[in-house]
Amino acid sequence: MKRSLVFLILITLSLQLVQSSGVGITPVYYKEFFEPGLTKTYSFHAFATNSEDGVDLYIKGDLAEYVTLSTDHLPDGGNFKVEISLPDEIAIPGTHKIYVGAIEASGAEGAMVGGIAAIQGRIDILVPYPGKYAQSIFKMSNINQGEEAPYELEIQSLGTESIIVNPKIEVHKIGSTEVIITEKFPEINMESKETQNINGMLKTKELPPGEYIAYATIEWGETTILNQTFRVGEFLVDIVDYDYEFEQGKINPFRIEVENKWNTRIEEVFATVSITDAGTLITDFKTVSVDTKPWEIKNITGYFDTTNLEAKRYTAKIILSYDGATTSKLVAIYVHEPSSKTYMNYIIIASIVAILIFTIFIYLIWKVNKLSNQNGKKK
Amino acid sequence: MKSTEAITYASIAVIAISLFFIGTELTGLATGNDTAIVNVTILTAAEINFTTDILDFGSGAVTPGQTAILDSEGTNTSWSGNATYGNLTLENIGSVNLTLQLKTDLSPADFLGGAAPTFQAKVVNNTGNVGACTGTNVFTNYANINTTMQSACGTFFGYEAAIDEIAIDFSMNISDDAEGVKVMTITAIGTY
Repeated sequence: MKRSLVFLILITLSLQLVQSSGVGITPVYYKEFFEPGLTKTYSFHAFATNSEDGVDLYIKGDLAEYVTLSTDHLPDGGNFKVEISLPDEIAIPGTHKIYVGAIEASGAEGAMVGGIAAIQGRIDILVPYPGKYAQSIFKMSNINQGEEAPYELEIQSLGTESIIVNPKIEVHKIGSTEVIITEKFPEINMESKETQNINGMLKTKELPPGEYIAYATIEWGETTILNQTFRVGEFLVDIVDYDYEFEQGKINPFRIEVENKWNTRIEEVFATVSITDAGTLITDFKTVSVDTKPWEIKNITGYFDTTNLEAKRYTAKIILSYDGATTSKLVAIYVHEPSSKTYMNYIIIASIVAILIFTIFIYLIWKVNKLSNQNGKKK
Repeated sequence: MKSTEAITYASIAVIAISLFFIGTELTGLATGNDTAIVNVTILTAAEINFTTDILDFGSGAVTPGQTAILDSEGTNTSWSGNATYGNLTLENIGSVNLTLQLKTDLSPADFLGGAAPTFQAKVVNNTGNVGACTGTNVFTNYANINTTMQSACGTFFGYEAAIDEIAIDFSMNISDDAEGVKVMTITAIGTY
């Protein structure tokens, strides 16, 4: 069987020292309601990072046939236009997506090919549904204790007929059916293709820390219910987990997992760990200081020297410090003998047991032989 | 006396009037508040970027009668060349979340040749980027990648720092009758 030589190269385009390549487009999105025979032009800007051959442009989607690009190639990136000329009728209601794409022009020669990036923005064409129809978007934001929670409610009338809308928002504690907060809005008359944006703040100042769920109910002839969870934060960095087993005779990492329960960044979080034995301080150390993002769970590490410690149970007091506040926890930790020493102990014990078994075996054989000899003499 | 009084009163009046005008002289200094507004609209931009070194599987020979199995995580079974460690790293450096799809420009047969070749990809969150890629991911483990677009991050390829990078590893089977210089283009498509 002949041997074969295969030389594989899997590379990315490497056009600058940083050996990176990318492509982008802006803006990323337009939205348009369908009108028979609508003609409209949209402006975009495409750019490429480290693409010597510029950017190729393309259109995709089920309405692509009604779309014209001002150019299909930009040698150095730049502006371009997308013109749509819609027909008099589109049979299927709903959202039709036109994808406006930009892709690195490969320009690869010979073996120079690799990873290529492409990006697609969108033009959504909304074809009204026959009769009455509404779509809504509901957003809530996390807050800190004592704050009001911002909300955004967008209602779109996407039918051919006008609608009367009655929205409201209700807040529950997660897992509970009790309504804690209700926000009702005035009745709204919406024409076809009209969009209403309702933005405001819920009266959540009295809510204790925890997780909540907000339901937005939109009555428009039918009922649409949307929900969003949000969290009310408390100014606390909690100790979630920690190392509790360490090896004797070495410097062990002491990892502590902490969680920022505040909806704001808390910086310079560090822990001081004190190790005691029957109330007597053995050693203490500090971890490195870290910054935590809102709701982030993170590990911080200190180092615990067990060189002169016995293998036994100790008590550790972990005190987290952050922005003038502290969180503390008292925990049990264990220092174990090195695994190699433990392994040797097992070998010694096993050897002793084996020797005992062997000795008993030899004794039994000797005993049987002795009895056999005695029986033989009697005969 | 009357003239003296008159002069006195007149002087007082002049002084008073002068003081009045001194106190109310217009200096050109603004005494009220006024506001101006500066507006800027920052458009959202979608951009993805490959930030990788060259992923070179090097040269080698397939053990006769065997099928070589190579991947970018150090596997090199029945292969005389060195093991390869590395991956393609893709970053969302725009200002919006995207969905992500992948495809190749060649089929495994066109890429590798030989008998029954395979070419697979695996997409995972890059180290320190937990949650960067969510939703339908055909490449959660090694799976065939081909010239058809397949979903890698079907819901969300994040743009925020620390959730905006993914790593793409590759694995391939090469039969002992394949030969020559082999290249492949991977296209990553980010969609808003």
